[in-house]
Amino acid sequence: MILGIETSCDDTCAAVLHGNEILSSIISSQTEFHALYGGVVPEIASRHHLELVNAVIAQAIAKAGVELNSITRIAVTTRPGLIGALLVGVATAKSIAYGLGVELVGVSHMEGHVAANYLPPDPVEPPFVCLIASGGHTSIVFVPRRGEHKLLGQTLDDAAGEALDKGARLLGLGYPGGADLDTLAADGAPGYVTFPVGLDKPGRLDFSFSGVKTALYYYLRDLDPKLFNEHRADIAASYQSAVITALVKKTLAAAASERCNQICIGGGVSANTELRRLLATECKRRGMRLHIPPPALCTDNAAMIASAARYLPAKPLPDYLSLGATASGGFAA
Amino acid sequence: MPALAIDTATEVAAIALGDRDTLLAESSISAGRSHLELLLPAVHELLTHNNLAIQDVSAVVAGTGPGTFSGLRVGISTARALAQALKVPSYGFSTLEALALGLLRSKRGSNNCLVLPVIDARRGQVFARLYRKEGESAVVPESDVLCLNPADLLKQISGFANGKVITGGNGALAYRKILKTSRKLDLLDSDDSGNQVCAVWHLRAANIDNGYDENQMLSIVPEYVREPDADKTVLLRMREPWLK
Ligand SMILES: [Zn+2]
Repeated sequence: MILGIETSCDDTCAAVLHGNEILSSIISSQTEFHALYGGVVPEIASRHHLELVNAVIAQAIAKAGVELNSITRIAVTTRPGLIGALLVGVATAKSIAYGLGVELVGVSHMEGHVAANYLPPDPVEPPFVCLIASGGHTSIVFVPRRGEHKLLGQTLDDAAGEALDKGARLLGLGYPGGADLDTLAADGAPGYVTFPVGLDKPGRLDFSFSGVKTALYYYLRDLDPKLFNEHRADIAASYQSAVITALVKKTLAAAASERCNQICIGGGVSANTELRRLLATECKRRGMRLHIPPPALCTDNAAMIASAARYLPAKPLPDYLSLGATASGGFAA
Repeated sequence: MPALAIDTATEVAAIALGDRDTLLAESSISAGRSHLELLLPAVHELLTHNNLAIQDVSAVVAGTGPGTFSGLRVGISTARALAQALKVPSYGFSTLEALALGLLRSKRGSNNCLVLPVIDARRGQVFARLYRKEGESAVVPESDVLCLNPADLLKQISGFANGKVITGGNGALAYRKILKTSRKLDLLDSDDSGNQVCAVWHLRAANIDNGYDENQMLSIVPEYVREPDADKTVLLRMREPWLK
């Protein structure tokens, strides 16, 4: 029985996994606390994690219908993320493991997103290419087998979800905004404006989204307000399509380069309707299998961290007592 | 069965084991900014050295600051989670109050004398609070928790007290030149941060026999004093992300 703990950004999460069965997965979102600032304020996130984490763990244990002392392994996100936020999760996880006298696994948040695909209701096995796109990260990784990751591309500046959120803000939508942008874009024509996305070259699997955001800013600045009101949905659809097309194009190119016919996705952007539609169409056309976990497993959660800890080597006592956390770092330990 | 006390408000973390009347063992760690990596190994070593296991701990108490935010969060997260896993009672204590008692342990002051523990708050400021000694092992606050620069602290102190004020702590040492200009202050010249924790037994002994109380555990939070560091330029970049 594994207890997973995840506090790398602005969600405080805990989950209990029994074998591959999710007994509970609790996510306490802090979005409302950060909305005022229009972005995640690290110090505020750290404060909330500290206040919430023990109650979220207690809730995960209670909902799983087990006792804390029936846990045999603790899994915790150690990287990458907001350092002050990670500190709280790692200190908590180590102390619970120490108090219970059980082993501990430090997990990369990115590997967690990949490992969400191993969970029910529709578990997948490698090899696959995984696109991880959220407000904090944008990566394409090839997974030949569990625990092995070949990073093929990542963003050089803004994350895809961040680009969508910021675009939403420019269009006068709230925070985080990505979901509202998606809704608004549903009624628009994606071909209304052409927004160029950076690094759009064959063979290039990295991303750059800061240019497209700036392009939208200048486009709106110079736009007649009357046209803005008439075509807001069209502009939203055009902007969203530019970001999503870049994600899909590069994911398909990555799959082709690895001769892999299975694609998985993770991260909050996987809720985006345009991403789902375009990927489904393109995968079908190519005879490829597309796998999208349920929304609650795509966004940050602790079940995915526990899932990764099923196949990763655990540290015994007292080796993990000195475990730290790092703001950077991806798949490797 | 001993209680475990942890204080990570400053760069020198303090841990101690003890019960109602005796301090069994204590140690301090020059943790710098590495509280996360160094605290639990030090706890484990202290326990092992005294032929104890973490499961022998009967209560966990944690210093709530004020001090460095990250340091405090590591110590308090650790204390809260240990209490949760061991199902033992847990309490928070004011690091300033504990430091005041620690200063009195080092420099015996007469009854009713004043003590001023000072903790470095960075950015040219200190956290401090004036206490009055009451009885053999208690202090009562004579001011609010202050967060100010050392020169302003001197101004505040000059309004108080006949006689000397015993002062110390890493904040007092960091600004010893300024503080020594006041003839009112009697500065303890060593950074004996381990003393912070000694006070715990006196402070919390009365409560240690209670059982595990989840709400009590959840109520242990850092005394931040300062508002979150919502740096203005960071916030502007968040609101207007297209500006570079
Ligand atoms: Zn994530």
